[in-house]
Amino acid sequence: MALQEVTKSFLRRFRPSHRPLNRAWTSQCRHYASAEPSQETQDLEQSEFLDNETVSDKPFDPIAKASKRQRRLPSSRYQFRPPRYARGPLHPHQPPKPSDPASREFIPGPFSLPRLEQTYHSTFAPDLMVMSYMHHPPGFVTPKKGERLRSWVGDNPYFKNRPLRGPRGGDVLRLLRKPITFRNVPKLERVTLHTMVKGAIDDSAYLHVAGMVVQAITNVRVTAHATRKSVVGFGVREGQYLSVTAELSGEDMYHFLSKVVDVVMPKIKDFRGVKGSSGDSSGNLAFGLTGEEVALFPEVEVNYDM
Amino acid sequence: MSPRSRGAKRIADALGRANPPNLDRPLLTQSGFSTTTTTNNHVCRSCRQALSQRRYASTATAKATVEAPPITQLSPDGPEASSAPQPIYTVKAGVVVSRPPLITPDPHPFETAYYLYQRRLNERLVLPFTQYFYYKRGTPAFEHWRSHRLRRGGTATRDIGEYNAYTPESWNDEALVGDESGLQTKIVQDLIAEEGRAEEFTGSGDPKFAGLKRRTAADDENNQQSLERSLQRTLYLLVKNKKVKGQSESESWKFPSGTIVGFEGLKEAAQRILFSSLGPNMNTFFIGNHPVGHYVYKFSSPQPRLAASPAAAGTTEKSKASEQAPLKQQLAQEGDGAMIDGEKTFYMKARIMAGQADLAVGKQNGVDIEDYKWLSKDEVEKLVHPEYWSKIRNMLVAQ
Repeated sequence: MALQEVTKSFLRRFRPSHRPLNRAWTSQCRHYASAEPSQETQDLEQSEFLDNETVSDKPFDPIAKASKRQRRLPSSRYQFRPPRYARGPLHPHQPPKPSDPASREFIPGPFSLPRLEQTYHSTFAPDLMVMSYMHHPPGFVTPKKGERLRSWVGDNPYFKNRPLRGPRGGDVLRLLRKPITFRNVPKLERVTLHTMVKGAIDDSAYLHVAGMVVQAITNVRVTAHATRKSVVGFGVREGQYLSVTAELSGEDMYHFLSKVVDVVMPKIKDFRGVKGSSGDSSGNLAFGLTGEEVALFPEVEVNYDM
Repeated sequence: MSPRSRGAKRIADALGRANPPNLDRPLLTQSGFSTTTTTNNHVCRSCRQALSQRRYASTATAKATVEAPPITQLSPDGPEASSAPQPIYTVKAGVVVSRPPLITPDPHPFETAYYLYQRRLNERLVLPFTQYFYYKRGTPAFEHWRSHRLRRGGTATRDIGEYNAYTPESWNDEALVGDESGLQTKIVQDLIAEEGRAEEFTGSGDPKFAGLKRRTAADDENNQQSLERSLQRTLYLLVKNKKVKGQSESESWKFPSGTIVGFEGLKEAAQRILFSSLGPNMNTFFIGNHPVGHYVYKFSSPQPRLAASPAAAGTTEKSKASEQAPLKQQLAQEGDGAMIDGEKTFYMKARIMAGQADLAVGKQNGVDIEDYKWLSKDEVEKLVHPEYWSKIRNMLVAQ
């Protein structure tokens, strides 16, 4: 941390306060027959944070105080710019943690506790834990599974340290599964929104509009992607910017999903639901929305007055 | 902790408690495996059968690698007869019906303050609101928005109170104690007032909560039978059984339970017990097919088995029993004078979506239920017996 001046207010913190200690503190102290409780609590360091009285008598008005000042404060009192580069642990000026608002990397944290997240913790998580419980009686021994990457077995001396082989029948490995316990309950991790705009082949304005719509819906900056290959059938050349993606996690993700489930899906005409065969049975699910359905989001202009 | 070890340990404890503790036997032999009969008694008959019958691909390859089985689990008919006489328990199925919370809980003042602080910091760090992208100059909507923005001290954001991030005084972003600008209720109320819809919520509704009520009539009356009380908490169904001599008031309050009859499974039994004792007017949904907890109640002295009611045991179950080897329970039902040492209740989890319990149906079916209550977790703790509470507390969700 940067060098601080030792001010009077700083020293005031270390002087013992003359107000009595909070009763909550004293009641927590164990009463032994040998020692008196009052003696024990007096040994504790006096601090004004232990007192109940947090609101002082004087009204707190920093603007009035600042306007009364005749002389201007030195800029070090109100300006702090963290160092751009970290120059090692021994340097006197250390950059603050990214969670510190003074840091250059600070990203403002959660602005609300989404309803969907609260529902998950109170309702879904306990039910998922119950449903995924696998009972094994005492004495159960987990059966030995085959090797994930098969080793070379034989008397050939060249087998030693040879790279392991893939699974039988192909090179695609089976998905690893962690056991579902109370510490590892399935939960929403990430939502990725992707849109490919065919009109952007001729006019890039289409892609701009798509990006703006996705940003308005998700509250997240989009990234544009260029095509990797030229496909003559689709009339697409390599390197054309045709799609945008937004990745949501945390609060934005829960808000977006709540909007989709509560606002957009009920309004879809003749909605048959998300297809049951969608997903890989390991926690990944995908479904699409047409242009008309995307226009049902509350952020889209036509719905401003809803 | 994996569920396997925890569940296994629980079942081992439950079944193993039956054994008298004074038998002096070493748990581990020289080779390190327990080859005594102690752990045999910890595995129930059906689990033992399952263990012996289960076939895996690895068992074929494992034949080459000789490994002494740690427990003599492969013989379904273990040496039960040689050990001390095992106590007999009646197996009962219980049901923990819960109504999940219907509204989000009230935020803690610290939460509100933290979120407000983060929103104000965000206002200072992000690009300003692009008003001319959303509003056209000269339109009435633009004028309306501009007038309200002035009232808010010049800020476009509507959830940070009267704080403008683009003035020379924007360094003063801390809200004082007692400042209500971060309160969700106030934000909603101001939004509704800005749209001019406050009149819609007079009367039954509350403009602070967009017309809906967070405290219902059941909350004010503290009607513990109502499902509309404590909308923020999970409510659990407790029933008051007929008082038995020597039991206190708190011991009669338990989750609904009843004896398993015939060859029905736990879930079927739980459904039957719930509907026969509290009526079919509850739209319930059972979670999973296995219990979420159990409660072992040992009688002070062994009691003779009561004859099962003819309505409960169907004729089909009896014919099935004669084909297979009779279970201890079946023998007991047929009344061969076996003495029951206690009861083991296994609880199934269920959720109620709609409806209400009906005591009249229980009285018709001869079930002795005097009263029922829907209580949150801390209310359950205050009502039930402490010993019962210690066994059921981990099944219940705090919020």
